[in-house]
Amino acid sequence: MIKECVGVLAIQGAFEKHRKILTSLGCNVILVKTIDDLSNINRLIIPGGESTSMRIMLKKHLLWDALKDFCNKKPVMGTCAGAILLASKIDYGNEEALEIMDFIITRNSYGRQIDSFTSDIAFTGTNSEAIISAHFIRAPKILDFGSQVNALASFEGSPVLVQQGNKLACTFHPELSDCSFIHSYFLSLS
Amino acid sequence: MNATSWQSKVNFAEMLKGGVIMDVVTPDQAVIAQEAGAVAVMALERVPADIRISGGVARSSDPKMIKDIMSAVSIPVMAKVRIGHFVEAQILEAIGVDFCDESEVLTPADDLYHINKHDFKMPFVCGCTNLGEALRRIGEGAALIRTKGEAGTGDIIQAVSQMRTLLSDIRKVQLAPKEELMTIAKNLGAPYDLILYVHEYGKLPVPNFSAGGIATPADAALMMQLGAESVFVGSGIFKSSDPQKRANAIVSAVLHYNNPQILAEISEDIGTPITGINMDEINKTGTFANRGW
Repeated sequence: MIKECVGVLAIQGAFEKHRKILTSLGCNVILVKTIDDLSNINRLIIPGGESTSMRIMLKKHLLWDALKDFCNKKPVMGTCAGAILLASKIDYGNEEALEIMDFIITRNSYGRQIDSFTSDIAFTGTNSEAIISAHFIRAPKILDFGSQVNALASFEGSPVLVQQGNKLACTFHPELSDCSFIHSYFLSLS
Repeated sequence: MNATSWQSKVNFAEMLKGGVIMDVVTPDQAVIAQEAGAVAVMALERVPADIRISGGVARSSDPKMIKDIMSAVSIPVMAKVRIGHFVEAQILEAIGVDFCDESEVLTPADDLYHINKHDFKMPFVCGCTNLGEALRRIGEGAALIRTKGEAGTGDIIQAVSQMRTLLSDIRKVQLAPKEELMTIAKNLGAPYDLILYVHEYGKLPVPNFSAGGIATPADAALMMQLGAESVFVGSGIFKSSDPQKRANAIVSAVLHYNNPQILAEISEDIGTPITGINMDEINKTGTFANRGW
């Protein structure tokens, strides 16, 4: 069996944790730092970290447009900072998003680090249901989303995991729990 | 100890990997750091190089100054407290600082004991010079470890030697047979359960960053190639001739730490680094790295 090549954007942040989970699921993982790395992968995860730092480095190293192009064509999942970058609009300063999925997001919406928390949330997909332990770290909040977007999980009335076709955005950190459910779900999208 | 809350602090530290944390003394410097791509800033009144020059007692910074920096940037803000000064830490937690550095750069407040960091919701980073010290700090609740280097010198030798010592210690524990682990724990002065972790996984149970003496993009890349997962740059940026250029270059160097071609490009034309103090010119009693027990 040919292993699927999955990229994890490795500008900064929790890329090692995603790599570990994807490797345990049998994927061939490539840490993406350059435009050339993008040509070797079929799907991509944009991890959590600092969205400001990632945006600045993506632009400085001319990866921004190539990444945008890749994300528009292939399956992609963004977690926390990654979800911020995938949004159509960031309601926080004048920060630029990749505009891949149709939702508006705001940053650090639950407060600073001392307000970070973990909560069990219910995943409700078309064919499956699950309870997931979700780690929210200086987490963003999805404020509004378009008709093409489905909420697969919510917390306190706000969507925390959304899908639009073969793209997923998650405001928490599935890579920090022991459960690989969300990564498996992402790998099933084509 | 509340394992869940400790793990959640470690999870936050995970988000800072592959980045640069910069010392800043004003909101303007914090903005420069953020625009250069820093993953966090360390808010303090004097950078280590100035603490070294002016001498006297170095204490935690004015909360107002830290709050001004917190409102100037969206990235996480760290601040320092004196070793053992848990009330300075309570004050930082009260104003919502994202990460507390119980730092040897400030004058220690307690000659025997460090802060019980499990008492706080705010995560702590602590310095170390070897594995025993790292595991003692983690045992007290630190969520992130940095080698101390020798802050304010611009001399990388201590950072290199401590990182090599730490990783060499880790390899020895990993390869040791199980029956030797208790004696190793005794000799290192380290908690036994954490020695067991290092033996099993071959790494610290928290991220491992480097600090103290980084002055050039090449220094930052050197520490990353040696095994650091992020770097703290203190005096090295704002004591150089062109802080903006140097900040940009050091962030890029951490990203492309194993690509000499890119390192060569970003090292060009970035002005002169901090003049620095050669470690041979500092006598043993003058070092910050000896503080902490």
